[in-house]
Amino acid sequence: MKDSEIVDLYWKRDENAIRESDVKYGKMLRSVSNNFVSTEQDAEECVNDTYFKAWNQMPTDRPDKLGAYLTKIVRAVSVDRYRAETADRRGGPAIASEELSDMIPSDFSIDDHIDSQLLKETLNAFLSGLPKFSRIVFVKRYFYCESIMQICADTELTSSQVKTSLFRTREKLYEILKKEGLI
Amino acid sequence: MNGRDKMAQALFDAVGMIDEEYIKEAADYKKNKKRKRLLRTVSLIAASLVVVTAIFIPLLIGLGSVFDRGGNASGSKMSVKTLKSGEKLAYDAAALIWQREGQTDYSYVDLSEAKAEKMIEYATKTPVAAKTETEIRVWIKLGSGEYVSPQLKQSVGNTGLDLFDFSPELELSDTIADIINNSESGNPK
Repeated sequence: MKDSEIVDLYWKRDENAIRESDVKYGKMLRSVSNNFVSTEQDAEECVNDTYFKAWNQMPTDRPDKLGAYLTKIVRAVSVDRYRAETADRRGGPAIASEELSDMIPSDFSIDDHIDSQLLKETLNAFLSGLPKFSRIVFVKRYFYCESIMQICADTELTSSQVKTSLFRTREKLYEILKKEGLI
Repeated sequence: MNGRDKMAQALFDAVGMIDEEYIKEAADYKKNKKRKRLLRTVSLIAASLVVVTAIFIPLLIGLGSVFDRGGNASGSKMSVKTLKSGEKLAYDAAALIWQREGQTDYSYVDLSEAKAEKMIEYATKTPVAAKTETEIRVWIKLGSGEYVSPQLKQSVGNTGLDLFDFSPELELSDTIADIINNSESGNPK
């Protein structure tokens, strides 16, 4: 079924929307969630929460790319669950997050308020200016939280090439964030 | 949580809100790769079918054969050599270097200094139709040790072969693509 047809089902409040979403994207969503949470059961629950959120948001939202839309939700749900359950343990998300924090000065201090909208807009502008391949590697690592080895398998690059690409992209991002006064 | 951790968390969360086109692009990459491989195979087969004709193209446009060094007309072919990632050319000769997407090693053929300069001049003068994607990256090394990508600005950073993240990405001229296809077809690894 086409994305637009599934979205129509959501808008009509037809519960088949969830079944069709799961048929088309369930496997992919579980795979993304698995990058963040530690058990299959947790991933399953995150995916169910994702459909629930999509069900509640859809009368307002009308996504063009349903797969990417659901992926954004499942990532947010999975990150929340990861943070709630593994506050003091390390894992894939912690390592990826640490890589990003490495570029922030250790004495950096901020007010309580972080302009998340500006941060999002800055990131999108930054990504649009990146070479396609660097952008894909960056999104795989920091959005999907894929391991270096997973990225190597998908891109056929060596791990040192992936690490170098990520390092240089983070350097560029640091410069942009600094220029925008976010860091 | 200190300021740095807060910012890192905010940044990680902001990555979760990026445009859906980038999310889809990264998710689709693996799928596209199979299609690209097929296209690459087809294009290599096509290139090998026209290899004899293509060898004469540089002659017709006044470049001379890429394989003939120092301006002599011997026409003796230089074999395609391989360079490991991060390894630098150990001598001061000019060379045409390329790397196909997904490859870790680089391939190169020797050039005369005059030939290398002519190729750069030709590449910058000849209009190139914009392509959306490129599966190959190319550098021309001059005897001075300077590396130039034909359709890119020269950069002080282009001093080694461990190169990434050119922006905009390299767009090959058909001439350069022909030279590479010809030399690969003529010297299968």
